[in-house]
Amino acid sequence: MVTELHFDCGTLVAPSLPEDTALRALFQRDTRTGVYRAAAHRYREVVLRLRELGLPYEDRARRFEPLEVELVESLQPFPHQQAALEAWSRAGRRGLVELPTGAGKTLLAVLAIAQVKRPTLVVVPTLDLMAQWQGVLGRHLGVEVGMLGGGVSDRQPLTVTTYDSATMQTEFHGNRFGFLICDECHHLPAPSYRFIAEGSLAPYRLGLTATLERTDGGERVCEELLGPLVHRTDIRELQGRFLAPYEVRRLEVPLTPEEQVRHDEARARYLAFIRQRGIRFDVPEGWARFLAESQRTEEGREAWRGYREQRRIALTSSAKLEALWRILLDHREERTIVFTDDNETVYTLARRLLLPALTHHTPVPERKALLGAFASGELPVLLTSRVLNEGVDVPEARVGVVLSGSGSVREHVQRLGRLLRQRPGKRALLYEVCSAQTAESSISERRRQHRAYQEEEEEKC
Amino acid sequence: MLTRELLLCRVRDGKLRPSFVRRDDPKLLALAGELLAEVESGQGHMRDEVEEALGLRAGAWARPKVARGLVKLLVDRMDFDEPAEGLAQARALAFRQAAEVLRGLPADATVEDYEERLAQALAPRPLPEVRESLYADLPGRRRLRHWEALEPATLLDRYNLSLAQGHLLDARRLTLRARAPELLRVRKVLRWLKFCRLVAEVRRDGEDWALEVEGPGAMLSLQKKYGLQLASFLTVVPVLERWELTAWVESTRRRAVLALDQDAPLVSPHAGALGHVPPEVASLAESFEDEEWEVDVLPLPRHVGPTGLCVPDLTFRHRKSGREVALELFHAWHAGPLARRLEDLRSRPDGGLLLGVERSLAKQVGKEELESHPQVVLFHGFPSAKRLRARLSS
Repeated sequence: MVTELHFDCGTLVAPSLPEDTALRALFQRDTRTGVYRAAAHRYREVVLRLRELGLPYEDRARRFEPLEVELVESLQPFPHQQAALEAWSRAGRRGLVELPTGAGKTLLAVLAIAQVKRPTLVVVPTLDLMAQWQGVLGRHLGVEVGMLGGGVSDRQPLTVTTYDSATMQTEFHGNRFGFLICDECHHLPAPSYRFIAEGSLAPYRLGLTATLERTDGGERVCEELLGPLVHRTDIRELQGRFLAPYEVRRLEVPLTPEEQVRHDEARARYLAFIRQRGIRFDVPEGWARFLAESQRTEEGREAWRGYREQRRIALTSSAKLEALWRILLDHREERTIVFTDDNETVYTLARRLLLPALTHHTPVPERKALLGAFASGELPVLLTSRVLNEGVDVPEARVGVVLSGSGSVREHVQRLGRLLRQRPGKRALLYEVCSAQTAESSISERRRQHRAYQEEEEEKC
Repeated sequence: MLTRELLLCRVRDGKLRPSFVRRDDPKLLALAGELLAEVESGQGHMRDEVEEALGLRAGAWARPKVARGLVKLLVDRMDFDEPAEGLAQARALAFRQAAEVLRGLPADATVEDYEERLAQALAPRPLPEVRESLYADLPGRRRLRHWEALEPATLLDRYNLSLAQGHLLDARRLTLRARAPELLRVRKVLRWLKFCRLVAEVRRDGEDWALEVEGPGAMLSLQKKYGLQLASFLTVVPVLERWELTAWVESTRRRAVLALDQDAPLVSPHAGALGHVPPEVASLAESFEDEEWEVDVLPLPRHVGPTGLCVPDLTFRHRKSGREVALELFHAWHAGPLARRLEDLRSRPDGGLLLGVERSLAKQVGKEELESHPQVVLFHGFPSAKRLRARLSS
């Protein structure tokens, strides 16, 4: 009897299976519906086993065929890109590649698509990256590239989508692509995102990231769903040759006496509350507990207001604004990106200094226009919260200012990465401005625990 | 849908019970009325203003989370206007002018110097006005254009349903017991199950039904929870008049069993159209007389083919052996579903299913294939009892 394979909402279904232990071990008997069922990502193993057994099978699961796709012009990869591509090919065209930001991960993916020649789904974290990938794939492969996400629903054999959209769509299109590329694949282990890879048939898989390692060990999930780590190049191996050399400057600025008093009062209110309730932020539920408890009583609401106030003062102190102003003025002939922790600060600064803001509220056409004007030099400064943290290509930026941020090492490394695209004579400069004698100082310490930050100078002003 | 922090509930002995509100509570009805009036008067106002006004009313209510939940459901039903044309262009122009000013400043310029030159460059528009209108198209600045008007009691009904749905987002499966349901009600529930892309193990126990409902991949160790589909499925459950539902709810914060029944104040938004039993089916059920077979108009759904779910029109049950043969009818407008069902049977034979096919479909699907198919009974208008008896006996 011919074995039939079907795709059902992110799973692989066979009405009947031959008597083969290895094959049956990949499936489970579905007593609800009377079929055999496996996660869709088992498709490759199932087909390989059926071929190995020499048994006939009818593949009604797969809805893709080989794709005629060629490079518009031949590309000469850098040595690290060539090494990564070869390692990935040797691993059966499955696996993870860790390259620093700016080392050409997108071009590596272009080369991989030209090699695999299958309909390909590229999954990216943000709408900006989606638009950027669409442009790069279209330019190098000369085909129409679809997009799913941000109000656009255009599925093509080569399609770029966001993690959020792919999570919703995988049960419908998980059988339409033979090649799955997860950009910034350290996002994939999040419980809601794993199904993107679990529910896809794609036999060929590539995970790209600058920072695979996760504090929760989630990199193992990436390896299970996309393949093993096949290549890694450290940021220091490429600095100066393929990435711009860089320098990090930390500016610790004081609050004014009046700001300091208000800050300390507000902070004391919120600290007293969390100490009294035994709330700790170093445990997973600490923050949720603070949020919940602070809404229950007037004392809690006062503590919440205290938390917000001390944070607002630290993030937007007058000395910070002054420090930012000096940096912008010193580098007024160069391209500068200013990173903050929240949209409120971005829009406050945008209105005050009449500088363009780029946040998740910025419509896609305006994003493109802003990035274009920034690239051409027409607009020398971009203010952003977190949307430019990852991947977005801003090669002309030389100066970065971290005005505020979280304690995340990844966020900090990614922000540095925005500045490292190589250009002749370029030396990138990242300023970190933090308020002295506030919680920001310790947040700053936490986020700089990466090897890329071990050479820096500190200034006090 | 309510957000997680608005899902009020009590958990005792591992059982989670949503804290429903009474739909006839005069104070709550008054609050709902006030909120609805606030939205009505907020038409044309900015989103931030409307939300702030609603938030103030909610904050002043004795149970602010209930009030905020009502506000959330109202905001979900609002439509705001699109940004005015030309704002993005005006903004781009202002940024270009500001960039020019910045480049032309001396090295020792202060922010105040910059602002002074900026004001000159932007003239005749005053700088404060430019600042104020710079991001007038942000979501919070958009104006309320339209909203789905509701009665206060309907808003409370939606709240209760959303409260239960919110917990189901963390569920992987649910069990539904329907006590002696009417045919049309159970059909509605089964069709909704199919619509929600869920699968179920369905059992009948006398007049009662038991459904184990989950997503196709729930049996595998997939991360996908199908919570949204289960929450959507819940909206049809109150169509049943007597029912019990349990679901394992598993989040990072807790594990508990959500337990609901017909006493929960849940109102289905789908209660309107229950459909009808075609008169010819009812007539056949009444007139079918056979010594060996009896007819049941409450048929069990069947999983067919690799992924299909069939809700047959009738089931014949052999009086002695208990063997069941279901009959699914395909009329002239069912060419697509018939082709799919034939494909299902080819992929996975099911001797317990007969397909009653109207002859006019033979032109579209293939006369020879249909006439020679062992499970197809062709008919004009409606299959005769005689023909069905003959096929059941063969």
